[in-house]
Amino acid sequence: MANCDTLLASSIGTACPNGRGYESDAVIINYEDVDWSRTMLDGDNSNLLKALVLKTGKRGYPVKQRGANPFTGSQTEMAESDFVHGFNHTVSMVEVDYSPEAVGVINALANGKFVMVLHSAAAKVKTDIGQEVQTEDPSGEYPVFGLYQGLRASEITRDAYSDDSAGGWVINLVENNSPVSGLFLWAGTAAATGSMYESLKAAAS
Amino acid sequence: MTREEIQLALEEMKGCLKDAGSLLKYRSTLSAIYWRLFRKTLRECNCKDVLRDAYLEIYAFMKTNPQIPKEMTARLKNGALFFLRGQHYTNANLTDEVAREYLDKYPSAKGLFAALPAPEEPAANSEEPATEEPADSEVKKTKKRKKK
Repeated sequence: MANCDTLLASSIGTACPNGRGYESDAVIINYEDVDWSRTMLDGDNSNLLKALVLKTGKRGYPVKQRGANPFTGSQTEMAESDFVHGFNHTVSMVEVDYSPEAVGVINALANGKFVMVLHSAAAKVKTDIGQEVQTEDPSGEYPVFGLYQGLRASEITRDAYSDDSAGGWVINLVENNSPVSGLFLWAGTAAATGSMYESLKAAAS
Repeated sequence: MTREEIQLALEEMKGCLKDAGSLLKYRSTLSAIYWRLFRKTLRECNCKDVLRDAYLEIYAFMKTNPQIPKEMTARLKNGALFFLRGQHYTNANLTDEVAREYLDKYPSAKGLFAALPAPEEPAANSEEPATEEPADSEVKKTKKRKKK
């Protein structure tokens, strides 16, 4: 199990750089809307989330970010502990709207608990390994945050004249003491994972 | 929702096309028709042309396709996905036939579904042999009674 690893089992720094940052789209899900009976990690690699299913009648909500660096400010840092170190994941985003509807969203973000699936700009370019039948290595295209501890708001500010937020809200959601440094949605193939990601945003079933 | 019902709804909305804002009251209807035909949800944004774009897309589909896709009863929970015969299925490409086949093979997968597929309609041919038997059995019964 990867999140119990204490022994190094592969090399460091040998992978080629493959871009950085995130795409402008993501999905945010209310933590209590996750169907835990059907959501599960991959049995061979617990850094992969093989299924993320929502309860009947529930849906994820699309998040759209403008600008050259969507979700700028998002980061992961180790959280030191006396017993087992964990990781704090921060997802930073901007809501440019200032309206009654937007305020409703901000109120929910301020006190809710969430899971987010982002869309990495880094992992989607794949390498042809030259075999007739290609097997697909798990991709880091869809990182998942908040699955273990939930993402909660640590900071929400609005500066009406800020250039960073175009006068809107800067929102930081943090998952504290996650046992893993990263978790990725992976349904077995890149196409299936993309379909799974899109289905999270569909109208309530 | 039948083809006729969709056409009636489009006719009702036609007068609102010039002003995209006046289509707002038909949002739920357009959303339902859009899902019925394309198994997709409407684009979510604040742009008021979303509904007009959806109307035009539906209108063009109805003009160019004499038949609409068969209405489905099966629906997966959001995020659910399964593999069958090498192909992956979500709500976007699920059919009742595929759902029944998958559930026949994996009955414990019912928890993936928000709505189970309706039972398959029995084929018309299977009824013909059954109608012949009662006539023979009645003849046999009358013969037995005469012997007594």
